Amino acid sequence: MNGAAYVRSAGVVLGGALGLTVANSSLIPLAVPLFTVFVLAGVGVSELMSPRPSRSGQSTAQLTARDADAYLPPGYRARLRWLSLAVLVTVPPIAVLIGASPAAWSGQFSARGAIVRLVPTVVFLVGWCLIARQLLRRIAEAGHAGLDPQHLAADVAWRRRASRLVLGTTGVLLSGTLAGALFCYSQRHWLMFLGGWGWWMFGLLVLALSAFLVFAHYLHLLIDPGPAGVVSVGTRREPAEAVA
Amino acid sequence: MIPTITIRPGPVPPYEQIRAQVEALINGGLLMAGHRLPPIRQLAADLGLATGTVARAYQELEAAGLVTTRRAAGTVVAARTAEPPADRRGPLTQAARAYTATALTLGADLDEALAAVRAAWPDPTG
Repeated sequence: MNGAAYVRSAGVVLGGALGLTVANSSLIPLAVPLFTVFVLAGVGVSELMSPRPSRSGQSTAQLTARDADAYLPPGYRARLRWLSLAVLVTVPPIAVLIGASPAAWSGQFSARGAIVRLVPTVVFLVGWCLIARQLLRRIAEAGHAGLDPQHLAADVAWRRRASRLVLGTTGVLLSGTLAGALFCYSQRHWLMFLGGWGWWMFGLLVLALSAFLVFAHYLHLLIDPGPAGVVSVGTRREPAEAVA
Repeated sequence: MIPTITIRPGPVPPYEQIRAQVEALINGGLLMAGHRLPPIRQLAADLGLATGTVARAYQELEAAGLVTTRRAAGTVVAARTAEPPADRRGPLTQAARAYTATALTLGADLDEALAAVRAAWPDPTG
């Protein structure tokens, strides 16, 4: 790990801890927004520390379209689609169950209220997904660093790293929300029916741990998206992240 | 190998340089029908130009029927449905020269040569 990776990890840890803490209070609608803000702040600060290949002074361009998908792992679209579907199918019922639970905070006993309290979560997650889509396009369309093999390789490395970082952030936000919601509900369920064997509890924890595994996969992508691929004309520098 | 274009400083405006180079690459067969050209923002960023400059070049290429722009597919090199007159004139002139040489060798005059062409030309009515 390097400096930028530590900053991203700190964003996830602080955001996750704050989100789970807030989820056990009357401020539960702010859990996912706070998690999102901390994760994105960590990624943003880390990106300020990671330089990109310097722009080429040449006025030459290859006449071929760069595809954003070329810089991402194969099948990522389908996996993100499934993850989004899992969030869509799982989180609203959990919000309703938490809201309807006798263990809920006072004044939170209505299913309609629980759905309304999901609005900030929907706004932040959908908002980020739209921004991420635009970012992936911008990364592919950003100007090249040069057309000689060394600069082309550095350019591809930078685009791959930046695209994977966006993918990792999206995956962490979606799977973190899913895993957090499942853990949060299983915790409340445990408080309600303390002790003894329960299939419902077992099923909840299987789902929560599966979501956590997906979260770990995307967290790895977020912390280690790959080398920055920085090259300057004339002298070859080591990637800034490796130096840091 | 991926074709490249270069913008050089001079009196020719950059959009015209882009248009002329892309047109030459398409006519020369280096950019085949269906080849996806870079998006306007990408090409502008690579060349260090404003997006409006590249957009104007693409518009002129589209007006000339060399590329087509669709929202989903982007800008692609258009399929050539028919041979343009400029491409047909060259081979016809070459064949006519060879026929004229044959007619002169046989001692035929212009009227006889044209009559032979008319006789050989397929009858459109059947």
